[in-house]
Amino acid sequence: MNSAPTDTSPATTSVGERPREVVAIRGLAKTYGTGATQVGAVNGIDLTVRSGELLLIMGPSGSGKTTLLLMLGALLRPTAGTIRVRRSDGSDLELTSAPEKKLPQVRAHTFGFIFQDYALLDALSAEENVAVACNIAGRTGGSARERARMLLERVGLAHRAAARPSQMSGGEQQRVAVARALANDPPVILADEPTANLDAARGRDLARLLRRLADEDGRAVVIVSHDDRLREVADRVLWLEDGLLKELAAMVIDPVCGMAVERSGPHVDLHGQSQWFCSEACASEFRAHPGSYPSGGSAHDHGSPDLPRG
Amino acid sequence: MFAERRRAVLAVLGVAASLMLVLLLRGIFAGAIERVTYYIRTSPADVFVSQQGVRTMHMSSSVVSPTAVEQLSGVPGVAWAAGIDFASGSISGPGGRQLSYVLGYDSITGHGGPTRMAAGRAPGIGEVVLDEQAADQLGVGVGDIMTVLGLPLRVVGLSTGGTSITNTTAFVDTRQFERLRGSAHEAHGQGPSYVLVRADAGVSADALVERIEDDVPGLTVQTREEFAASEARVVTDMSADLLRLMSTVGLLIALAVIALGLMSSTLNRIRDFAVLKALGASTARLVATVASQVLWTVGLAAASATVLATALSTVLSTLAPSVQINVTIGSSVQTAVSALLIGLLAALWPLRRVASIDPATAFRESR
Repeated sequence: MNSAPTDTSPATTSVGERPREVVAIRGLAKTYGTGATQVGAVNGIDLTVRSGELLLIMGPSGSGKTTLLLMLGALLRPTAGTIRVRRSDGSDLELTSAPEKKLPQVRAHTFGFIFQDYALLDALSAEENVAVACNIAGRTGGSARERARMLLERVGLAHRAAARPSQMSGGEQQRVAVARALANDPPVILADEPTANLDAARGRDLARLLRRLADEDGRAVVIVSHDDRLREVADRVLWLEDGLLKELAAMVIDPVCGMAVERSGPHVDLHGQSQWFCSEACASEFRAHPGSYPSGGSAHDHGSPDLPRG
Repeated sequence: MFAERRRAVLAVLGVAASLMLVLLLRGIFAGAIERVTYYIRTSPADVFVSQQGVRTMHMSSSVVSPTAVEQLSGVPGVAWAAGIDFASGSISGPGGRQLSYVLGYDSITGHGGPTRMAAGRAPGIGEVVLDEQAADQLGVGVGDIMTVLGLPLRVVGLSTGGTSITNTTAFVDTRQFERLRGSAHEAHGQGPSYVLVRADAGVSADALVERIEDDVPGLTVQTREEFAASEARVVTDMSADLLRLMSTVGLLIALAVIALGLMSSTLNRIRDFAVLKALGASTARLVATVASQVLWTVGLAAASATVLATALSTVLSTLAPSVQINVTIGSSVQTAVSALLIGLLAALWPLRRVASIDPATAFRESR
């Protein structure tokens, strides 16, 4: 899993608009601790995200997905590397060199955040939750409330504007969170496991909604998730492991443990097909009970950039 | 916090209750001062003359020369001068016992006597005029016999305004006072305790004080206002520590209520603050939000406390007439300012906590 960093371009573009580079990451690294306890969470990543692109980053727990998202969202300073973001007004901003006190303003005007647990303010109604984000972005009073109502209507929740989070389903709460993420009209939306707390139907609804944000608005949507359902709507799927990104299209699934692995480790040839494994242990397990695992799983392709949209 | 009405109402009421306690304590003290100085403030005399070095009646003993009244009457600008005798001691009736100022005055001229009579007439030998509230508490009325400084006297009149939370006022004729003085074994000499001086029309009290000091040396001469202020000061000095202690306790309770309310609401909302920071809210904005929450809490609590204390003072004064509670605008403003300062003090920890929240923690699932 220690292949060279991958930098790929999106396969799709927004309708009627030439995709432009919105996020450009070069040599991004983050290490925690020092000396013997030093851990590299992200180890020199290059990545470009374009307008209208929905990028899905998958990977095992602890692989550095959230660290990457935090650095991309100007919430965590990298140890090395650069992150350049093109803002709505067309200007470029180098996040890693921006002064600390400017970062809240950068976040308020550049990124929309979607959290795994929605992170709505319990004491406020749906409309107020969105309006607060409008306030932070600079809109106040009636203008903020009007935009909040418009965004709730867009996510199909105009009729729930007065409801509090405790009165809404998980799917509704996450749609309010999406509306809130749009409050500042951001060029980039960052979503952390947005479907993790949703059932299958609501997860698909949300996936389609995020897809629409990329298609209709030309926003760059970056999702980190374990959820396979999101691959259906993604333009690209990248695999993050050991702090490095790989194209999932070039990887296969270990039939024993289900992990995405490269075609460079332990493997077993069976009936003319090759099976690849994360470790000798999985390979040995497969050799002992080949009938217990899907044999047709050789060289599974995952996260093809040509997958149809949801 | 204000989006959660129940929590906000509880916080405001908690602070209001403690501020009301402070306001009532200060009001009771102010009322007591007003009652204690009632006799002086409502006296028709413009100048009070006492033994050299004596500036008050409360906790004091004063005797002036037997010729002082005559000397003072001869000072230009003096309309009249009247000696009064003063002692403090116990009076009692069927309803109980009470501390009292006993004042002896010339009941023929009426100078130095009660300012206003609610019933009856001026006292003669063997008689006393008592404050109506004290009469009520002691269970005596006009025509009844009561004990004044150890001697039985008949109540012939009721005066007003002289009973405070600590003592009351009784008036007797100067001739009767001589007998009482003997009864109390006080050897003050033959002169009166104080001399009350009325200025002629067009003569200011200050000017008269200067003339008396020049013409009749060896006395302490004060205007009515100065004398009342000295009297209030000695009472204040005696009670200041207690008042300060009680006020401090009240304000500390307010501090605790504000601090606990803010701490709990801040701790409950740490994730919310982190989310708001992640969305781009600046630390200054969030700090301002918490600070404005304190200002609103204290402001609403101070207003509520003033209204409640005023209402309660009316009720308490009706139930216990000897308790006068003066809730003044000055006292309310002073209490509100104190509360504001302790509110900001209480907000320091939550403000520091909010300022130090890492917005990245918004991505940690908390529910």
